[in-house]
Amino acid sequence: MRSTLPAFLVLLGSIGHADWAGAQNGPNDAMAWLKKIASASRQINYAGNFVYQHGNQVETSRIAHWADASGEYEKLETLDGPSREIVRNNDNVTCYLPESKTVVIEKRTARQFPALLPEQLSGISDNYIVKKGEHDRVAGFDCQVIVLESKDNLRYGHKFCAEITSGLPLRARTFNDKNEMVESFAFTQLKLGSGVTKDMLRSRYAGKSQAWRVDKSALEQNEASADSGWVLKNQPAGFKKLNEMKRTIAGRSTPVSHIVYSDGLAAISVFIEPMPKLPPPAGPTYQGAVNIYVRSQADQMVTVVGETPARTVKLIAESLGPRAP
Amino acid sequence: MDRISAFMDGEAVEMEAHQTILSLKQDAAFLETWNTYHLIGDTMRGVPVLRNDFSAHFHARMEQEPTLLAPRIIWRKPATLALSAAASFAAVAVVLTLVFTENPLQPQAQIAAVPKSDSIQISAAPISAPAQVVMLPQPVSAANQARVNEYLMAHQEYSPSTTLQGVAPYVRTVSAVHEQSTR
Repeated sequence: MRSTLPAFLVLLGSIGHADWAGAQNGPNDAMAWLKKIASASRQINYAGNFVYQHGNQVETSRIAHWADASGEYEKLETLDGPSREIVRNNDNVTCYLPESKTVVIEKRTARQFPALLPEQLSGISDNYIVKKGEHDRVAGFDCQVIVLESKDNLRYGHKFCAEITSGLPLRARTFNDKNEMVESFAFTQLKLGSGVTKDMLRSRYAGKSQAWRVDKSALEQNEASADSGWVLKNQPAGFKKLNEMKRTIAGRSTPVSHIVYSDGLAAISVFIEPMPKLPPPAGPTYQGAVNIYVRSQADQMVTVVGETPARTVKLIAESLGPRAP
Repeated sequence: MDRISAFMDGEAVEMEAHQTILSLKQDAAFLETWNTYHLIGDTMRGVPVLRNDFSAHFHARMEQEPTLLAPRIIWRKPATLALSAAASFAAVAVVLTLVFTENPLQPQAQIAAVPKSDSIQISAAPISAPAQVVMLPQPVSAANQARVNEYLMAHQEYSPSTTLQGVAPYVRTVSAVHEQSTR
């Protein structure tokens, strides 16, 4: 609310009351909600249980999030199946696996922006119809539904339900072009703001895990912008190149080329690397809303990963090739 | 009618019982009496009474039911449900394919005449479009999970939708590891 209020006041002063009321229900207001959602999940303190559903699988997890002057802290633990706990302190991610008495320490750049960038917003309004939906209630909190309807079948549609005052997304659902739900995150219980204390972020295993095996294979990672020499012959509508780099990936002996395409919301990553000795099966696979496509070209293996329909991932995989000399 | 009563109570001798069963098969009035006696008995014992035309309906519905050749679905832990469901759809398809190709004489016409139902449509789909030609995405296999997770994490660092979904990047990989370890 802090960030959107001044904007509303400016509108009030400049274009008058009637127009302001109109703007509040129009697409501009829906876009303002998107910005609010994007900053809320990074800046708000919250703790609760949520359900993640994909296909016919349902999993329950507990999350706590804390942000202060020293940065961002997050703890995620699974509530069903084998116990697992992931603790993030800015870029440092520690994953505790009590069953195998293993601690995995990783470095993950917190590259997520605290707000949506202007070019992302224009990408979103080019490729999605963004509108405000009804009011709903999730985990006992009133929330505002924001609908992102895809303009074609190359991307998924989304429905967010954002808590009225903070903008925290309480429910996020992803739909395919047949309007079937592909993936869903929803809080079932939640504490916001002052109800959250920093102890809720403390690991249950940090003390007990002194003698556990420590896996640091993903700790030393680096990346740098670099031309991969590969281009798309047929770029799917609405997708633009966001990044192109050479990076290390845990478990690979050689650096991997990584190109990212995005439509402002959904992203597709292309990984190009020398064909491994034991290549994975070629073709399409999926995990939740993420589709994956593997193919080989000459002595290179191409892996395309994106939270888009399988057709978009395949389209990119098939139109990718080395740039003509 | 005493015969029915005796038969119901298990007091009829073998020959009589045989006669009674024959009568039940041939004489509608006799069958009606049998049903009525049972209805009275059920009511007296407090057994919930089904609607009085239940058996007629049951037989009518039974006639319309398709003969389904399906393997028994083995329910596993929820985490592996998607995979086992996919596996059983595939298995149904295999069974139907065998029926079509190896035993062309018998159940083909019957299956072809089956009224449309969801289960049939799902299992029949791979037959009209052979699996070798149309590659439908499959869930990531356990063997490739670790590799895919690395790509997924690398990808999600850059995905704008991560900003909106908050917890998504870790949840997806945690969920995958979870799946893998319960397999």
